[in-house]
Amino acid sequence: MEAIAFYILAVMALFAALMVVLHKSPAISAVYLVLCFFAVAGNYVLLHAHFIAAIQILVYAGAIMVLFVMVIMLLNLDEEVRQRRKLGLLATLSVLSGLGVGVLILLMTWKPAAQAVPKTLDPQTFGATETVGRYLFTTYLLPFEAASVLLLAAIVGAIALSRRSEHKPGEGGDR
Amino acid sequence: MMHVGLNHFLFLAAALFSIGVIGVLTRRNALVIFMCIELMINAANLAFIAFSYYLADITGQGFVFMSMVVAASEVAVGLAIILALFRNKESVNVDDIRIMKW
Repeated sequence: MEAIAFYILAVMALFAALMVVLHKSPAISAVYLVLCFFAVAGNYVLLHAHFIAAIQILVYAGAIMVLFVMVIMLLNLDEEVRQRRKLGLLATLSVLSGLGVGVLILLMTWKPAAQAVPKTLDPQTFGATETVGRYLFTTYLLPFEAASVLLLAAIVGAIALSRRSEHKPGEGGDR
Repeated sequence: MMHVGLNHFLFLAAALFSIGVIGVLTRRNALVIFMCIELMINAANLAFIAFSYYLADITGQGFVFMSMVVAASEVAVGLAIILALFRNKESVNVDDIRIMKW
């Protein structure tokens, strides 16, 4: 049962990821990316990370993708024109992907990893919001607070960058 | 039915990461490159969660939480940069933006 769910989700994620890379229109790529994020969230549920799965859907498939779609709408892009790549780059890429596949096959047939089974964990509490929340607010409280400062810096940075450049410094008021 | 082990999840994460790398290297649209970067961050997160489950250690999930915070702020700033770029250059093709190229 778990294996069937994993294979369905894995094929879905890989197909969506490939379509993100291969599709010509950025808008369609964004929609496939949402599908990919949902499939990865399903994998998180399989791994008993329920809280992270919910956050994945809220933050990635929700907030981040809305941002992407808004920017695509603002830019009003047409389809990317394909130009012929130089052969050198293509050859390098093929060698790299070949190497990657080799490493992956090694990984798949590696015995210790193949036999890795989860240690004893309580399936009721392992990935639950309470467990993760207690962990974040006790052991890792300082990084958690630092994350809030980082988000504030990102907000200020995004607003500062997206202001109109012809805006005069002394004027203010429009944002 | 086959047992799903740690290496299956690592395989999926590695495959997603490779697809992201190929996207970054071959696409010329800055927005699509950005999406591929998100794909790679997701693959790394998946590896974190898989290890967290198979080692029965919640730390991996804390790491993924932080990684998502970083990814969200990265997207906000990055998309603002792309917008500013488009305003100045009328293009999001990374081949057109070569003012820093030596």
